[in-house]
Amino acid sequence: MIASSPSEKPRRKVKGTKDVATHGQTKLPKGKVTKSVAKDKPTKKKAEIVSRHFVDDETPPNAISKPEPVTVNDPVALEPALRRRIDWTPPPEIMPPLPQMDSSVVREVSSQTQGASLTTGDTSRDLFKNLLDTYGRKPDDPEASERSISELTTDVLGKRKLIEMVATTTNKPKTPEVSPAKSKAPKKKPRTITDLATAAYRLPDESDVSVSTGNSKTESLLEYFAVSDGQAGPSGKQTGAKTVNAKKGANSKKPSKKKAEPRKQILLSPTSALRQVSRQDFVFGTASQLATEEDPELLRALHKAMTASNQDLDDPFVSPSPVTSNLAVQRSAGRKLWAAGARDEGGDLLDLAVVDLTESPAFPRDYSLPVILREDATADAQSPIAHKSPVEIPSSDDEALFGTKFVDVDSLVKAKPNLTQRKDESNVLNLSHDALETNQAGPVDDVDFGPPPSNQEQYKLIEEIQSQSQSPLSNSPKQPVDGPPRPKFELYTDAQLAREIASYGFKAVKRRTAMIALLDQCWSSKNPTPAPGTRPTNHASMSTASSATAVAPNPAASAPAAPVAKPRGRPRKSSEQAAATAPPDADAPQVAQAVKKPRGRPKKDAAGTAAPPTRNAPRVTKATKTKAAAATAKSAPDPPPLAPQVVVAPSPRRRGKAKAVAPEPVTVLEIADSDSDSDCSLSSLSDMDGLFSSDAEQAVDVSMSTSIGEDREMSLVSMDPTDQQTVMFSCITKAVTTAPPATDPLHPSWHEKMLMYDPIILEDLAAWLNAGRLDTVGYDGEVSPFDVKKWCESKSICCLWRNNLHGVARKRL
Amino acid sequence: MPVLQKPIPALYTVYILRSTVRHASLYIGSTPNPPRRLSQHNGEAKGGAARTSRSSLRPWEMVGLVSGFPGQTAALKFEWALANPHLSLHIPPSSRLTVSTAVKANGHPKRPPTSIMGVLSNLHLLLRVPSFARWPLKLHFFDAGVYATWQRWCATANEPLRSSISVVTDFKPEAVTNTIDQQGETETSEEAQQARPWGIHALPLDYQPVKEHVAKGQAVFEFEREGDCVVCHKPIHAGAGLHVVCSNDGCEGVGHLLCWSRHMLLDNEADDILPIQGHCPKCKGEVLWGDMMKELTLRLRGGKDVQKLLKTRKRRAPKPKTASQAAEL
Repeated sequence: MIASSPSEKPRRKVKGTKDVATHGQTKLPKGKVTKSVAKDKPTKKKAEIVSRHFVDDETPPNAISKPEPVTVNDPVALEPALRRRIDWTPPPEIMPPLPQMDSSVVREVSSQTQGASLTTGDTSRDLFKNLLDTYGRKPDDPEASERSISELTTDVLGKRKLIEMVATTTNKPKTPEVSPAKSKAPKKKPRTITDLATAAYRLPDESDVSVSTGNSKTESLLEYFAVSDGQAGPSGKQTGAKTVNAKKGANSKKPSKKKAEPRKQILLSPTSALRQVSRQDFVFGTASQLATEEDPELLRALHKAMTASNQDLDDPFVSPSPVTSNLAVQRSAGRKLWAAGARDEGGDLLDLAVVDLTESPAFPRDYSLPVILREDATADAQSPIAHKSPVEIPSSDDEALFGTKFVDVDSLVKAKPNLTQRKDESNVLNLSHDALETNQAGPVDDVDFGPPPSNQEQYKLIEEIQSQSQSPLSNSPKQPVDGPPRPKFELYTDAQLAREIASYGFKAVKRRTAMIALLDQCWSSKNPTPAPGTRPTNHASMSTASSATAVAPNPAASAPAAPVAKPRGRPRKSSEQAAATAPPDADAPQVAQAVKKPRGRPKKDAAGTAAPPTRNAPRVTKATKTKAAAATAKSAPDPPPLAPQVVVAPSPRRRGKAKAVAPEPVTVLEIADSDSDSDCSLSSLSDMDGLFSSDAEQAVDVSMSTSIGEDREMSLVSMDPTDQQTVMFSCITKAVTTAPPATDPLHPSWHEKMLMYDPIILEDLAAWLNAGRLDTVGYDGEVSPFDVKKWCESKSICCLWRNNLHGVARKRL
Repeated sequence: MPVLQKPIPALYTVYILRSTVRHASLYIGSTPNPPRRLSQHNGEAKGGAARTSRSSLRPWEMVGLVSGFPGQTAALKFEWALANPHLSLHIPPSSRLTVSTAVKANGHPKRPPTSIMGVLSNLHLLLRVPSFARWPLKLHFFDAGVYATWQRWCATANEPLRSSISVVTDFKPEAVTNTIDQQGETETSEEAQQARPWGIHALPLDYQPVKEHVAKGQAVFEFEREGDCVVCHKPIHAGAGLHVVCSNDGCEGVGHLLCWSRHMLLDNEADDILPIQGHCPKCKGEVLWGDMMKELTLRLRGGKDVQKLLKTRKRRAPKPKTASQAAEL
């Protein structure tokens, strides 16, 4: 199009002139518009459009330097509309966010319209042209672009000045100036709960800005620090965008010129820009902290201190301080807000009391700090720095990395996978970037973090289970602090999960939950928590599979890791049973089994530790033999002792293919009946969970043997219903049959419906039974729709769930 | 009840489709109109299943079917269970015949290869499981070989079928083929069918078989001849409650729905809800619960169907023609 348009342009012009000649349009506009053919005129006009509004009170040096009366717009009387638009959107100078953007298209369009409007000259075209001139960017004017960039930086930061970016090396000398800033801190408006609450919703706004600004963001922020250094926070005092622009024109020009060169290097796509922004290490704190400290390093240290102090808490139920969680992307905003608002008797914020700032080595002791912050000045403050937290604050290398060029996230994920754990908050975003978003140094126990909003009950359950299972696992609360934290696989994207799985040498797994569980198991088998003295470092934990095999998985040590991994699904029932009942020596094979659970055959090096075949399967077939051989030779993990009829041998063909590799058992899972059976789908789901259980020591087979056991098929028409079930069924029968007949033929009773072979909606029938009908027949208790379903099936009554498999209420029966 | 109930359909079937070219190719389906569905499978009409679209396997034939399903839901349940006997939860694990031995790519158990014997044995099983045992089903066989296989399985099955399930055979009439051969003409099989429909083409697709019953019910309740309940001998209040009319010809025994069910269940176990068959207390004739329910639901919910049915009776001139028309439909 670009190539073709120049040829089109003259043609159009000619046509247009002809048209004008023939139609005899008004001459006046035509004559006017002819002026605008000049190439650089739009630029001037653009500059004026902004400046004209302020031409009375102020004189921006750049803009007013070339004053040219814009007579074109006057007859159209466009000015009021333009003014209004400026209120809504940033001024035109800010519009071009990407200096590298090839604006030839824009130019083409505008020139085309220029040509067109030149010839036709009717007012609507004129209007359009004006709009284009206003919005379109003229790249030929380097000054304008530079100016716009510099203005842009301040504008971007306008309201968000308090959010500091990655610590830079340039602002060291600023530290002495901290105290004057502190003195004015109380004046600033403290961050309210409402602020906190709405913080999560401000994120898109932020990201939009970052997207629009593109790669120039970091640079400009650095710049901003330098500028604000001298200007003592001009953007904070910004009364209006225009005044600041005008004022800062000269000031900001200098640094921006210097930085202009690197800025042009990369043009990021919106997604990668967004990713990059979210990857940036924001410093978060309460408003008072942020307001007090201008210095990012100070804030950083403060933040570290707070994380460390939170981390040192032994109480697993302590609520997370709002500071430790990324406020911008909050997953469990509600809970954290409550925690954030918690006050003690004195009316002080509870979380702040724990934090000690004053001892941080990054800055001198300053007693002008708020009292709350000084309260707890103990040696504790040293700990964050001294503490060797597994998660590293980005080193200077990283900063350089950030400053110049942004590495692919995925490579970073691979390089530092253990950075990926504290990401509960960030699942709002696309999660691909969370690898670096580790504001909380150090792995705090998962309990400290809010569950996803929908999982409140589950979360409680987990807590209960953990608290119950804590006695056998004495070091459970402490362990996560020391061991390498488990990555949050739940927060990975599918692609990431697939890559991780591939990195473990497994074939692709389709189901996301299975992938997560598999990765969890891989992780736990790869990172067996060693004895307290010899905890592996991060890098050790990320060692390759071969080195992982060298590390014998310590079952007892891997047990405490169980609560850490919080899979997405509902908590497994058997976790506490497993913790209580599973003998420690039985854990080792299970750990190994867990690794090999996925359907695809594992690669040779991905195997766990050698384990003797504990399977009591009746069929001693070639499979078992080869498996045993393979188990000894290749240290292949052992399949769980499943019920014999459940385990289906892989076909000989497959076995032949997987010679050296132990054939994995496949289990027949109950698939939900097409017409109904959400209960069995549940069961199959839970089976899947068990199958791919992420908790290594939570025995898969325990859940199977206890809950389902031999006949795992869990048929609806179980052959021998328990006595209780028999009683219940007879009571249901009695309740149904003794109900009075309906008088309205169109609304038959349940019994009559059944007699007429009507499909019975289980939920409705259960509700009806529970609403007093069962009491009348002397049954004390309630029946679930699943019981009702079993009853219906036993009576050949056609029954249905209210919703079909898509979860939508049925329209017809 | 937001969902409007429909009357029990005139016909709803679950059928076994077999390729005439390759007898090992089988397909399980369900339809209220077997001839139409067969033409779909054979590509003569739109809407055939993809599994039956291979031209090398066409034409298909329905070698057997189960009729009498009280509704689409019931038929679909049965169809799925018959097509997935390795998965269906209606089959208790102890009596499951088909066990999956392989796994599909998505991890689900693979359907074991089917054979006509496997299908028939599972059909036999499904007709006995509690979920379907008391449905008013009827078995049809349209192929002698398949019927022989069925009989072989019935002989070896460890549990007999419920005696009240009637098994009907309607093979391709020898007479038809003979006549064609004798005449030596180029008579198409269609004409032979025209002469005497058989198999699925002889199945009644509308309510014609229950027409007399429906007409009797209409008459009884229109002219309030219901009298007292034949079971409890209490007066029947027309329009209040559900009343069942005996399906036997000439018998106008009317009773409350619940009374009838209680009466017919007395012979069987009292624990059950659904009767299967019994005897009319008035005429002592045998009645099937499914027939009576079909009439009842038709009377209650199928106003249009009843009108249509009775209207065709009024202008009924040649009876066989209407039957063939129905077959064509």
